[in-house]
Amino acid sequence: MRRQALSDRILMQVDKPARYTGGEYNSVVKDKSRIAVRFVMCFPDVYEIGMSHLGMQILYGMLNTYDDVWCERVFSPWTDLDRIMRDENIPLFALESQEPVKDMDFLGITLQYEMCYTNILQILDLAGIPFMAADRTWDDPIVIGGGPCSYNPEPISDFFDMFYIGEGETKYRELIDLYKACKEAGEDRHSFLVKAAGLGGIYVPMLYDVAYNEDGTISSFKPNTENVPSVIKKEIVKDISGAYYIEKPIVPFIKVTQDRVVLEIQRGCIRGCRFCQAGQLYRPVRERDVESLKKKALELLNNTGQEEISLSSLSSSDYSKLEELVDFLIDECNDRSVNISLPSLRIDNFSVDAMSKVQDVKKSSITFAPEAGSQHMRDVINKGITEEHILKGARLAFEAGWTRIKLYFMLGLPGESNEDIEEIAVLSDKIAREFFDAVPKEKRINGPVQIVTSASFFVPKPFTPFQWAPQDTKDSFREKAYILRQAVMAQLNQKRIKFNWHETDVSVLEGILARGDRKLNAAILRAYKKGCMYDAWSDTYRDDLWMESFDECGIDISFYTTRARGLDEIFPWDFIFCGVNKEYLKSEWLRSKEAVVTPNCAVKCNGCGAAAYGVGICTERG
Amino acid sequence: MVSGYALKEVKSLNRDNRIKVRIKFSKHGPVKFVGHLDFMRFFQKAIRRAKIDIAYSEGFSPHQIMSFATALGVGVETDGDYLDIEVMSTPDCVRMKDELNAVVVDGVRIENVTVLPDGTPNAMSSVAAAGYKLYRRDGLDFNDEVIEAADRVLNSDTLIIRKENKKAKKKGRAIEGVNDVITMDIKAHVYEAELTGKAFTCLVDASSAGNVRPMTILELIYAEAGLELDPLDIQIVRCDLYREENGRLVTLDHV
Repeated sequence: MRRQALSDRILMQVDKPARYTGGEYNSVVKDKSRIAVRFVMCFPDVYEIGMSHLGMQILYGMLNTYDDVWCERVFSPWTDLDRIMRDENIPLFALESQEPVKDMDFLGITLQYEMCYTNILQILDLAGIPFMAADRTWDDPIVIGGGPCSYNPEPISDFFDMFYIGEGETKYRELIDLYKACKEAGEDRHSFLVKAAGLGGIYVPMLYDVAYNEDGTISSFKPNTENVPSVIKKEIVKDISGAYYIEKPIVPFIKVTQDRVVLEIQRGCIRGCRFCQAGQLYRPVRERDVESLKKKALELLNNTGQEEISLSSLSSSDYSKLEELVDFLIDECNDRSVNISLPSLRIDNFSVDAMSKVQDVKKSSITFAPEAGSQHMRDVINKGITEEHILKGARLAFEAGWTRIKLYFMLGLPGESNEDIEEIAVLSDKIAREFFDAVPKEKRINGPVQIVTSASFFVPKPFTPFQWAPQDTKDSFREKAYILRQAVMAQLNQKRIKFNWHETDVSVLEGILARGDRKLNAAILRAYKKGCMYDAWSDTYRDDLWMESFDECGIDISFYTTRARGLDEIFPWDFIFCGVNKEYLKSEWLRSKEAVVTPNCAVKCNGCGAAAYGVGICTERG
Repeated sequence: MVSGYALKEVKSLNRDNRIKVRIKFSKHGPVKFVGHLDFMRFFQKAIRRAKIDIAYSEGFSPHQIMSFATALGVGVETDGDYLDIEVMSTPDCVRMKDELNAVVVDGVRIENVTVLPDGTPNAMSSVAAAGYKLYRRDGLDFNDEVIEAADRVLNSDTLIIRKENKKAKKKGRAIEGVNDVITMDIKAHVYEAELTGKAFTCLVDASSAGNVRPMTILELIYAEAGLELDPLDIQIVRCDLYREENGRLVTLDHV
């Protein structure tokens, strides 16, 4: 039996102790005497969230195919265990070996959202690894970040030895080989970091210097060491169907957020919505081969025993062989009593038909994400759908028996007027009217229509056309939510519409961190030391402590949020090439101001720059 | 394409031909921290992995026909717990056991698989008694005062426990020092009990009407010794579950 890092006594006192004991089906335990490199992959949030993340499972599986590497996992201990570990000086440990994280060679931290930044510091703190990369020695693991937030790594640049920019499948073998060679040759840690920076796709923050203008914007950003690239080019998988994909996903004991097999059908998105970071970062679109997906689906179900399978992509409806794949899954899954979940589908004849086969219309709801209420705003954000599309989709769903509709919108989009906001309520009401029109009284056996209209607050992100856009203030967010609430109440079918909105505080902090620079490192560390942790959780989020920390570090948050950025401003993330050129983003920003729609990649190539990778839709489309 | 409904109806039509199977399993080590509901989910997935032709309920989210004899608390180990499932054809019990053992995790083992004769009541309703073993997590023996106190407590004619009066409390009628605590003699529900230096073992009533917690008895013994018992210091292992047959207790796999 594996020795546990935590005593039974401690495990009996914490909530969900199985978060910490490892040993799940398909978790990998290796003979450490035959391992050269110990890697621990971290998702800096609680186990149930981290274990739901596909990317981490892919890299875990891939790294464990290497005979000389053992990849393990670690998550943020929940606040109850966090306290005990501090009180009793118990070092943070990896789940598989139950051995200290500090003794590993690499600590890989996946950065999925900005609100996990204080949890990174919790991980380092509990592990006993110095916060500052500059203070680390060979006794500490190499701390490497990856994932979407590494496309603006500057606010957390002090805490990382390096960031991996791009898709993880490509460079880890080389990086690990380099590490082994440097260790064998007795080279120092710094020299390893310099060499790693030359591999491509690896950003080592300490090898770059930033200079600022008087107004706080960046005047220059350049390497301070020879042979270090001044631009870091995103890594990308060229042959997506041939790339490694999970064979035996770990099957958690406790119920996690994504408690199902996840099949990634394509990477990237053709749509180019102007608020969406993922739509730009993962270009170009690359589809996985449908035959290999079918095989993979069965393999994953057999290897896990999961009772549900879900398709994953940014926009499943754009996958060219979707019908073939879904029909196959419906057939196979029926035989096995496996449920299918089909997220991110456009509502049309095919998807309504497919969903009515896999879901109970009485219990489930259909989700639309119009994102904006007025056609003008939908054109500004380049959503590419009209009211007619939405109403027609809703009607199809109603005719198929659904009565519950969820609608997602954003408030605070650039150039939004009060009328645009009110249009959200009007659209919600039109959908309700569509129900009463489409479903005659005697057929309303599932009850009347229920519409849930949810609004989140827009946060401008790097590498989007809206990276120049000022973000709204907290007060303005509240005011807009109020306007919308009033507008909903003024609708004929207001009793059928439930209106929800997001927390305003958190959206502001997300905005600060998303477009932040190196000056924020100090404030994040300060907030952590004051007790900030689990900022993504409303129960633990402490806006007062965050604002105090910014004040004490002399940081004016409006510099990061509400300030209008000049077209020629150097952004903290400009040294990264993600495939999409800044000039292209700029032209998209200007087009958005004119509410001019840009066709998607399947219709026309707009020359964003991603064709430089020579793969996917950029080459297929003649 | 065959629709979901059609297939599910075929399965339910065969309800009369289903075979009931009882699975005895043990659970030791870190996996003891997986709670009852999660452990049920673990078994559901293991059964899929082993490709057992288990029967499913009808509806859009079909679930496996499966029931556990009784829940096992978080942190409690077991040498013998049970679940009943229904399968679509008579199984080879040894093979089913091996196939399941090939797809479970460290610490879980299928001890045996038994086909239940028609009309056997399900495991949950037949549990009458449970055997337990309790020992100190620190590996030390119970000390002499505890051993001596056990002698007195276990050989006495009564075993009086004090419980919170939940009923009164719920109705807001509990008065401190008057009716907030009720006393009960559980002697008749404790069938066997012995404390040696190594462990406290007992066989107690586990029916829904008279269930006895083994820790309660150990607490009485510690109290008699004038010592405080911290339940976190004690490891509980369930040894087996029993049903009644002609006035005798037999294990649940004895059918």
